[in-house]
Amino acid sequence: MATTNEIKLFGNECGCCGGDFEVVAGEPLTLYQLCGAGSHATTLRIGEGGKAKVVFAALEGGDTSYTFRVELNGAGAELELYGLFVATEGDRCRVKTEVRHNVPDCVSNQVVKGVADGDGYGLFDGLVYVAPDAQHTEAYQQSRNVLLAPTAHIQTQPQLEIYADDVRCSHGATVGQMNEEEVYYMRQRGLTKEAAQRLQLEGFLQEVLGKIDDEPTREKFTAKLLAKI
Amino acid sequence: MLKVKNLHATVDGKEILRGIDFEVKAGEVHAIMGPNGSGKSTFASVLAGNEKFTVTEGTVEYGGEDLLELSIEERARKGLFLGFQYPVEIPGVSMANFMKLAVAERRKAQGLEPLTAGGMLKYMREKAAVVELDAKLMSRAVNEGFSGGEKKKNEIFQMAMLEPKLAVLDETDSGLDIDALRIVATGVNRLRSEQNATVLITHYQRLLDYIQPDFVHVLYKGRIIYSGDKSLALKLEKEGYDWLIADYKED
Repeated sequence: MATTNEIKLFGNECGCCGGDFEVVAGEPLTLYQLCGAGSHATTLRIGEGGKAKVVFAALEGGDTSYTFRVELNGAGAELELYGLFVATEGDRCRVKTEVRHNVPDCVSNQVVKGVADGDGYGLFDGLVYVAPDAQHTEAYQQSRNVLLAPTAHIQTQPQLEIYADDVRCSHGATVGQMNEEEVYYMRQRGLTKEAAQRLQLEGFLQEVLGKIDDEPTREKFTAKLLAKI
Repeated sequence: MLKVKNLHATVDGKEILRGIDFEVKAGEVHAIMGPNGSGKSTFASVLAGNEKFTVTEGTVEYGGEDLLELSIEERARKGLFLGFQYPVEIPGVSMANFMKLAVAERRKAQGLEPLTAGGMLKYMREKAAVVELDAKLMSRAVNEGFSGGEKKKNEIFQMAMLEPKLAVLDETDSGLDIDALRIVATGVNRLRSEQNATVLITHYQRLLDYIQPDFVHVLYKGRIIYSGDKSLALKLEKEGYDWLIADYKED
């Protein structure tokens, strides 16, 4: 039975949380980051058969930046990276990821969801690099964003640099508004417009929160999220 | 219960409803039929308060109140239910959570105590059984990944949960196979009472084999041009709309 290293970095307990991690087979790493304003840089080096999962959120307001640099250095290395940010009035959230498939047969999956309201600003800057001989790479990246106000702003820059030919890679990036049909449907069942929009927003971010296996941690993230929206 | 007088409505400046007169009393089932584009779904949407449409003339009285003055959710809380032709998927919002909130609002409007968590669960299971809806769907996101039949059953399930006074079902029968149609119709029939009323908007006579309407109306070019009893539906099925429409071509 593999032992899982579970590391939780929560806001205010760390000014700039993050760190350097080596991940090896048999000792999967789970990293939960719920950090406050500041710059949070994390480097993960995942060796043969190593597995890492990261769930992070920027919900504390202010100027928050997350940077992840991930090296997949051995066959069978796997990365799951899920994040969300909510930038309301006065907030700046930046998420930068760089996932490097240096060897064949590794898997990475990234989903980052962003919401901006008021004059909030968000940025997703994600690079997936696949080295020339990193065949059989599977790399997926999604950046989904919602603007709640005309003055809010989100920029998304997905980048794929692929130098191998036998790979499965995909990326998707969207910036849009909330679907009005959904709100109408919920109001027809008796929910106020505000309640419907809030539920819809929670629903949108639920995909990320649902990746948190540890119950108390998920509750902590959810409570922060509810306080923010 | 519902009195519609000379209702006109537009979408993007185009007039779709051109003077509908229509009345429903408690205990009645009405069917509204008509060819494509005649304004059937628009009529349903206007009753529900869909903000895409603008009412330009006429009145709608519901339970003694001016319906057009009420917001979408106020209409719903006062027991007006719209079964959607295309039920909307809401990613990440579970059926159970959605129903909990919707039922709480409806009960509050009815002056009833909120249900306990256990009571709610039992109530949901009971109502799901009415339309043979798999209770497992309650933990899934609203309509997400539901089959066409499940989505329509889910509409009737929600109707059962909310105990409407007036249910308007917009083409709930379209796209259903015969088994799903029977289940949906059985659900509607079981919810019929002397206190509530149902308006079925439909294209096909076949739904009316399962749900016996008291009145059948033909909507054409935004007006109800003909009303009759259930034999009208059979006549329309056999002879089409041409015999009716011919007189209105010049309008």
